[in-house]
Amino acid sequence: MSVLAEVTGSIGSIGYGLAAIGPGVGIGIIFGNGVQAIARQPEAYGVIRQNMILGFALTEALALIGFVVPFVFGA
Amino acid sequence: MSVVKLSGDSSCPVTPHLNSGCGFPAPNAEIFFLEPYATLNIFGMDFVIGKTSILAALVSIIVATFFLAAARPRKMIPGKLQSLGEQAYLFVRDQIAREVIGKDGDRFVPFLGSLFFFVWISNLMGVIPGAQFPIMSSLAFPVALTLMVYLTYMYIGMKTQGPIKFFTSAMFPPGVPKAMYVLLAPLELLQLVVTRPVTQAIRLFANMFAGHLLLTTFTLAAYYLISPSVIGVLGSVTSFGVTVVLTGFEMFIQGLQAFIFTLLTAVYIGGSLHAEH
Amino acid sequence: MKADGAEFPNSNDNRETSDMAWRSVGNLTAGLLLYGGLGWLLGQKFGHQNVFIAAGSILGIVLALYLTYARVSAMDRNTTTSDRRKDQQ
Repeated sequence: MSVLAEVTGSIGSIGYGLAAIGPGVGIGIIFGNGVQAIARQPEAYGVIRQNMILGFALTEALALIGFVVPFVFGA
Repeated sequence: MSVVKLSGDSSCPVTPHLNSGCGFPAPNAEIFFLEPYATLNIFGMDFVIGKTSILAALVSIIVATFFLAAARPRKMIPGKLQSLGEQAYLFVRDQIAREVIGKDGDRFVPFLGSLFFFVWISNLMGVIPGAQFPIMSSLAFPVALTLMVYLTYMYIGMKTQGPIKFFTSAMFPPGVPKAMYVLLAPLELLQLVVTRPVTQAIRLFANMFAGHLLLTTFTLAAYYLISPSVIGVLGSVTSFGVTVVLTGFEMFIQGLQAFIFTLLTAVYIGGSLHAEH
Repeated sequence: MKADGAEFPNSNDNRETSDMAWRSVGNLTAGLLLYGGLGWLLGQKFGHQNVFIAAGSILGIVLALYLTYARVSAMDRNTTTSDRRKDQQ
C-alpha cells in the first residue's frame, strides 16, 4: 500500500485546533442563552448566573483537556 | 526603514515569484525581532533603542499630552477637547471601576485609566501605517504591566485584610467539607499567586502576537501572489480583501483586550479590598 | 435602573459575578498545572510518564470543577433574596 498523503510537523497543534471548536460553540450558546434568559426575567438573575457559570466551567474544561493531550501522547 | 527578516523553511526572497518553484516564505516568530537603531552600554548593561522603545515612548507622550491638554481648561461647560477627556475618564470610572469595585473604587480610576489607554493606544500602533508593530506583542511589556498590577493588589490585600487573613480567606472556600481542604488549598494558593498574573499577561501577549502574525501572513501572501496568471490575480485580490477585513477585526480585538486587561485589574483590586464571605 | 453612572449598584452582585467567572478560568488552569505537574514529577521518578501526566491532569480538572461548584453555590447562598429584590425597584 503506498502513501497518498501525509501530514508532518506538529500534529498536536492541529489536534488542539480541532478540540477548541466544540467548546467555542458551546460557550457561545451558554452565554447567549443566559443573557436572553436574564433579559426575559430579571428576577431570576441569581439562578441563571449560577447555572451559567457552572456550564461555562464544564465546557472550558474540555478545551483545556485538548490543550494537554498533545503533551501526553506526543513525543 | 527596518527590514523584515523572514526565514521560513525556504530561503526565498519576498518578491512576487509564484511559479518559480520556491515556496511561500511564511512569516514566523522571527518577524518580531526587529533590528535596533542604536545600542547604549550603561553600567555594563545593554540598552537597545529600536522601534519598540521609540513606539513605547511615543505612546506614553501621546496619552499624557492628551489628558493634560484636556484637563487644563476647567470650564463648567466644556469645550470639545475637555468634553472628550471627560468622556474618557467617565468611561473608565463608570464601566470599570464602579461596576466592579463599587464607590470606593474612585481612587483607583487614575491607575485603571492609565492602564487602559496605554494598552489601547499601544495596540493601535499595530495597524497605523509607518509604525505597524503592536508593542504589546513583545512579552516584556505585558509582563511589566502585570507586575505593577500584581504588586498593587497583593499590597492592597495585605494592607486591608492583614497578611494572614488575606491568604486564608482565599485559600479555604466556604461550603466545602474540611477533608477536602488539603487538596483544594494548594490549588487556591497557586491561583492567587501564580495563575492570575500569568494568565493576564499571556492573554494580552498572545492576542497581539497572533493578530500581528495573521496580518503579516495575508499581506505577504497578497504581495507574493502577484503574477500574470488567473490564480495569481485571484489569490492576490482575495488576500488583500482578507487583509482589509482582518484589520477591522484586529482593531476591535485591540480595544477589547485593553478593556479586558483593565477589567481584570479592577476585579483583582476589588477582590483584595472586599474580603470573601 | 442605573442612569449613566449616577447611581451605582447596591449589592456586590456585579463584582461577585465577574470575580467568579474569571475565577473559574483560573481554577481550571491552576488545577491543570498543579496536579499535572505533580503527575509529571511522579512520572519522572517512576517511569510511565504519560499515564501520570494524564491522571494528574484529570484529577486537577475534576478538583477545579468541584471548587468552582462550591464557590458558586456559596456565592448564591450568601446573596439573600431581599438584597436582589432591592436592586430591581
